[in-house]
Amino acid sequence: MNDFEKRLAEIPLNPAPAGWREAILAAAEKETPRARATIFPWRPVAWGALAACWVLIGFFNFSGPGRGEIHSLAIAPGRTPTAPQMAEYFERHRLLLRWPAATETIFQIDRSKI
Amino acid sequence: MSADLAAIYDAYGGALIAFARNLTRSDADARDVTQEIFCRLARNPVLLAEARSPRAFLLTMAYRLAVDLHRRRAVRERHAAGPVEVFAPPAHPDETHFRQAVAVAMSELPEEQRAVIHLKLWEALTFEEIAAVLDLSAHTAASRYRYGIDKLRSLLRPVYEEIL
Repeated sequence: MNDFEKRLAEIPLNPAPAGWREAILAAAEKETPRARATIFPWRPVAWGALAACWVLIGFFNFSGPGRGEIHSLAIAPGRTPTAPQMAEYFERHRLLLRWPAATETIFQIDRSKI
Repeated sequence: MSADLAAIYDAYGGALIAFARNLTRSDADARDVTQEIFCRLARNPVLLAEARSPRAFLLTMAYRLAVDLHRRRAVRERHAAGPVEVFAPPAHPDETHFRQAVAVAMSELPEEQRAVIHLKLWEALTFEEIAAVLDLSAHTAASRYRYGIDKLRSLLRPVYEEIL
């Protein structure tokens, strides 16, 4: 190392600004595994309750008809009506067809008598 | 506060900040680099235990983080870095002038030459050790140092001859 290099090497470097030590170490402390564990601490009752909730949700989810079953029920044709049901249906239909004629006779009133 | 991290900071923090400051030419970036080193040490406490030379290992981390930061800055329009006080302020005014001139001259060197010169002059590492820190050959480290010192000498000649 010559004189010029020695002269350069003698220049002291600026020390770290005050407050950096605490700030840097505090930031690092948050990253330690122990500090991270405190975000979700081990509390058996709380974690057990959460697990029970998920079990219940799962139970209700799988106990009813599945999504495919609901869809097939929605698009499936209804049950074939029985003979008495068909007869009742046709009777109602026949009555409905006769309804306009009946109303006409009701409302054809002889106004001269009023 | 972890006692281990505090002890590591007390032993190497000053050197890491000075190196990062000289590389990045920014106080904020030097702090980011140093903080990231300590966050990594906190996440993985055995990191330093596996290192053969803790000082060299930490300087390598600082160099890589500074280079990463430099690349990211280059991609997104590196904003003008403010003046950074790499060297301690002296008592004598002539010395102030010289130190300022050295700081300016250092900032004109390419990052890789600056890194080698810093490790050689202010960390007193051998070229083999510098090569290990910067992940290059000892020959490359020596040639970068030579080029860098020649450039510094030519930049500082007027000031240096004045104070002699």
